[in-house]
Amino acid sequence: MSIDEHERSTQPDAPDQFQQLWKAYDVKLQHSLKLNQRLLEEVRSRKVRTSFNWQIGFKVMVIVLGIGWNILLGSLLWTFRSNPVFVVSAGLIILFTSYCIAGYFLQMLLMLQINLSKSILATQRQLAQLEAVIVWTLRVSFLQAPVWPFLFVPKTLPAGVAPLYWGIEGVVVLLLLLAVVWLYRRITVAGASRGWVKKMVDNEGGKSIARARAFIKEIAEYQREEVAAAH
Amino acid sequence: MTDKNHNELIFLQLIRDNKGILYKICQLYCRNAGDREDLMQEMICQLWRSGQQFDANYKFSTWMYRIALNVAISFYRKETRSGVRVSPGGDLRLMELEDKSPDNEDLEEKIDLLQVFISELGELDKALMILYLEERPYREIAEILGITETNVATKLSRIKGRLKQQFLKANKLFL
Repeated sequence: MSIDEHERSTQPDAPDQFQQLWKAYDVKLQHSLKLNQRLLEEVRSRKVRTSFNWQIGFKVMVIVLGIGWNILLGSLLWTFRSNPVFVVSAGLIILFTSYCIAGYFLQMLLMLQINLSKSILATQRQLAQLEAVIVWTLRVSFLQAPVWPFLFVPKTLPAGVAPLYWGIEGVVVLLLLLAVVWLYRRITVAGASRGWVKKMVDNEGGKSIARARAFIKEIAEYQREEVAAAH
Repeated sequence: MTDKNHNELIFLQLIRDNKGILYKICQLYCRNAGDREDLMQEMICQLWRSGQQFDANYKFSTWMYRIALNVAISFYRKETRSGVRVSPGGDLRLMELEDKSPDNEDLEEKIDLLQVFISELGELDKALMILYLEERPYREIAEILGITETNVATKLSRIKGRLKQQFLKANKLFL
């Protein structure tokens, strides 16, 4: 099935010089462009197996593990409910994990919705949204780090040990806080195309959507012109 | 013949029939040969995978342009490839120009310039210009891109003006 010729006549003007040049290029290609049949069949059969599906499978696995972790932590919270430090820290971790589960769920939904045969602006917008959700989930997942040391604080400390224990605990929490602030500031949508942030986003399934966010500006520009043209 | 084999044959024929446009999109969206080869593989792969979702209510060309251009635009913004590259046989390529000798040097030079100027456009403008050069109707261009026909005309006029200026600057009169 080749592209139908008759439709071409519905363009408002006769082919201009650019189109005539292009046509000349097309004629040359028709004569001299050769397709490697063996490679074509190999690409079709081999590349299809390396699809986007494993990323969706990975996200399902993370969601299941996250739910399992929250159930475990919830049961521990009930068991150690008499320890207020544990209750607060476990509660916060459950909240952060729930947020990340929701983020992964949203990523999965967006991935399932992406359809390359939709209009270019619609598809590219979806890809950019997916990247934003991946980056945002990644940022939030690190925020829980300073809460973790409190999970292991015993209900009562032996006399004389408490100042030293809280001193070490304080240093660890402070270091984690600094690390989290540093990570939070660096894991940005704008930074998703650079260095280790890119690697992390890529591992999260963002490889095929890298740098999509920067593209939002161009899409927005197109939309602005759309509004201007309508008036 | 099984349905699967039949579908495969149809698909391979579609690629053969439309190899020119796929090749041109690769040329305009990728600067080096390795990237072009990867993009070609990616487009073919996505066309095959999306085949099951093909809606007969749409024109085949609209469907194909949307997928090929969506893949090209996404690919263009990537800094690295997936690493899955089929390259048996060393330098063998999926598509190759057998006869590279220019028939008409002036024409060849203008075609090269046109490709260079288009490749410098933004991703969406590039897609718009490809569709225009392929002489697709404004209605179909609007449908593929997801904008109105009026907007297609406005943008094309701006892009063509820019290209004409570039041709003039390159001393290749183009009026």
